[in-house]
Amino acid sequence: MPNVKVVGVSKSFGKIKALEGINLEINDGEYVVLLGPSGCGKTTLLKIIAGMWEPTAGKVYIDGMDVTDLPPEDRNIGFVFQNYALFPHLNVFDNTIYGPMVRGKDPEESGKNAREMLHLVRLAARHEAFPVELSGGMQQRLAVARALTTGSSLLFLDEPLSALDAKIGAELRSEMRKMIKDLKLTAIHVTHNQEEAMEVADRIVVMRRGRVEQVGSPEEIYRNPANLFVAHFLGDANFIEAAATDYGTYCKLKLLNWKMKIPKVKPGAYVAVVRPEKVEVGDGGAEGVVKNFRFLGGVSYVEVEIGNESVISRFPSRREYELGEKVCVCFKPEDVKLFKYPDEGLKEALRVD
Amino acid sequence: MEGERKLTSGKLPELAFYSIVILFFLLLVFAPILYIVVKGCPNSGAVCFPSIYLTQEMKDALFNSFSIAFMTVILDIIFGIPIAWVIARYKTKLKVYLNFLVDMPLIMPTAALGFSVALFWGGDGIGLLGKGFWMILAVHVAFTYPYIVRTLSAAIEEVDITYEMASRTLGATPLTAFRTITLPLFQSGLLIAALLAFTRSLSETGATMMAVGTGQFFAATAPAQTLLYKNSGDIASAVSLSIILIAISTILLALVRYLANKFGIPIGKVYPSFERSLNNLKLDKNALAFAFLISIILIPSFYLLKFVSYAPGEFGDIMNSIGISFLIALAATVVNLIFGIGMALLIGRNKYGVGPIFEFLTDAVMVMPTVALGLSLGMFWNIFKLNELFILAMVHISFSYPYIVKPVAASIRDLDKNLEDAARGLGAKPLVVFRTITLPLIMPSILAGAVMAFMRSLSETGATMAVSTTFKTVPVLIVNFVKANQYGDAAFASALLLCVSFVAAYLLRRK
Repeated sequence: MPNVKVVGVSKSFGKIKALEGINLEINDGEYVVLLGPSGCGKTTLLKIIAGMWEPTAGKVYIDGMDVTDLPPEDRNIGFVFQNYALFPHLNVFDNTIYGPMVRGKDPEESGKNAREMLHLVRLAARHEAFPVELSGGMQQRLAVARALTTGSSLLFLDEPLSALDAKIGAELRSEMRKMIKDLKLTAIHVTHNQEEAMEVADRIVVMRRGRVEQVGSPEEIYRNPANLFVAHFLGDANFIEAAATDYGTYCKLKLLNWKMKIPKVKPGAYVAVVRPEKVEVGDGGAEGVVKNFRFLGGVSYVEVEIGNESVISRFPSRREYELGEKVCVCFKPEDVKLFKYPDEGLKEALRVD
Repeated sequence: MEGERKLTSGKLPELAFYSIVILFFLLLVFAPILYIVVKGCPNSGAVCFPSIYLTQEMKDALFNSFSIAFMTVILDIIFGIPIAWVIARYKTKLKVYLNFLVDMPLIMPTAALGFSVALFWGGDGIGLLGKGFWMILAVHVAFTYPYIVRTLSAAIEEVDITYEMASRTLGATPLTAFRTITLPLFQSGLLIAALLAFTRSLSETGATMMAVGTGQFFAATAPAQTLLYKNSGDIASAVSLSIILIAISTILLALVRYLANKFGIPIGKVYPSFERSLNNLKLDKNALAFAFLISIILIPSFYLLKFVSYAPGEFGDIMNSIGISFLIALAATVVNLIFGIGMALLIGRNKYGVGPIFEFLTDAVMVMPTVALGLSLGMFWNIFKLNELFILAMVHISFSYPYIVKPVAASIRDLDKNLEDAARGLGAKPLVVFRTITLPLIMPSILAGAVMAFMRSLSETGATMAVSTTFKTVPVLIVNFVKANQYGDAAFASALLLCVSFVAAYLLRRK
């Protein structure tokens, strides 16, 4: 049963450091998503674990065995490529049976496995079709089937849904997760789409600039982001400049044109992170004017300008706001997550690239 | 109104332009080549094949030609694939150097190259081979190798490396991945490369003559035999053999083009343990191919530089020949640039749906043995009693034509059509789009094609010998020197031409 351990893995391309000292443990049967903006090193890390690239430093263990020097064909893995890399000269069935065939498995049994797998991904009827004749969704399912027919229980998925229409992608990702869970596989999935990550992952690894920023369950990461970048990259958030002053047993936080009582913290400059769904528009709190209002069906957004900052509130649609309307916004102290004001500036701390 | 304006300012001149391009090709390049088929008949005017005959001598020559061409292709492929692989897949500096090394024999006229290779293997060099069949093979492998490697590396480069990776993650060793995935995916490129090398070998005269024997020429291959007939006044035999060569090469071309699209190389069985152990041998295929490149191609090709000696008596002749060679090559390149780019547009854009026809015809010109082509053109233009220098230029225009059309057509086909649409959308007129967008983007392939056409013209022996009586290009001069046992002069002429070509190529590249 496969578990994966990455110890101190670094990778440089010339002078560019793609990965710096990555440590990661993935348990057997776990669905882990490597999430981050493009260029953060997540695909590099995936390809190093799969054996396609060699790390500049560090070790990779699969199932307790040091595989750092093993080529991909000797790691017993399944890999789903971003653009699927379905062999264009082989039909659906031959693509599926390719793995067992080159591993020298018994042809009869491999054929049976391949047919079962194609059945599972609803492609049995198209077993004679060539990849170009399949729709995007079918190609994606074939890519998964091909990777799984090898019999490996460690599956790598490199942006497996990014080439699909949003709607088909959203449908397929729940189907894919169910299948992977049913087959009790260990999966490592790379994506830049936080919604996709939240939906499929048991655990998310948030990466930025070749480093791991936070590891945790989707809920943990959303509720307790380790830093400003993670808060920014996963879900929407308001970032409000704040100053805390000590009042003996408690502190007062000055933000916007408002002051709120909070538990004791070290006095100084902070950034207050508040999720839009925690911001209430009503009578008390900070006063401002409505700058923007958007109705999106079930929910609505209102953006309120206060001084030179603005705060966004998301709420179940019940009323509309006029531009320029005077309103107040407030939120509870327990919904405020405080981060020390970053030395490099707020903008730099949030930068995605 | 919209449509009407387009018709007057765009469609009509366009039609006129392409008509000129097509007429140029049909009347000045293609028809003269077919003239020999008409001429081959006693009652000239009708095409009648019974007048073609085949003597035992011709059969022997054809047999030699085909077995040499076949073995040349096999050797080229075996030793060409690894080098082509490195050139296509490595992104390091090594790639640049390798590209340069592989191309080096191309700047050497084949007669000089053949002379050099024959010197290397023969009694004046390491003395391993006597003149004859095996020597011809060694010579042919040397001058066709760059063609194979160039075509193969281009074909391999087009196969997405991800397929190989996918195969590896599914459990295939590198060797299995190459055989079952990459090879089938570039097989049409492989076939085209093989065809190109095959027809170049089948067509070559100058280099063959160098490997056959000095003093007297015993005809070893079909083109050499054709020249021998022609020079001894047996025009009927020369014509017969030429027509057979033209027919065979055209049929081969048609067959390969058909095969390239129809059949796949079967994957067949996979032998995982066998291929795995083969893979584990750690036999360095790259090093092997590299050693082949150095020892079989490069060193023999340039071995003649050792024999350079300066004889002031021949200096005037040599300079005169270099002048003629460059004049003809320049004329051929310029004329073909003017009309060839038009043809490339016609093929690349498939205008009026005639693209595939003209692509095939252009290919047919390329695979045609140049001796047959020269013989036919010589006869055709002689009807009009034209100046020999003009006829020579026309011959060179004909056989170098495809070398400009093909790469340019390919790059026009690969051009992202959206770029042109974007320019139109920004308000550029079609001609402005061509000048500011299309032309700059296809410029590299135009330059490559021009260099190739120029070098082919500079290097050609057979076609020139088939027409010229008074004018000697450098390759002809070299053949004559070798014939007269003037090795030092032959080497000197080769080296001088090499220097001049090198400088010319360098200046062109720098532009």
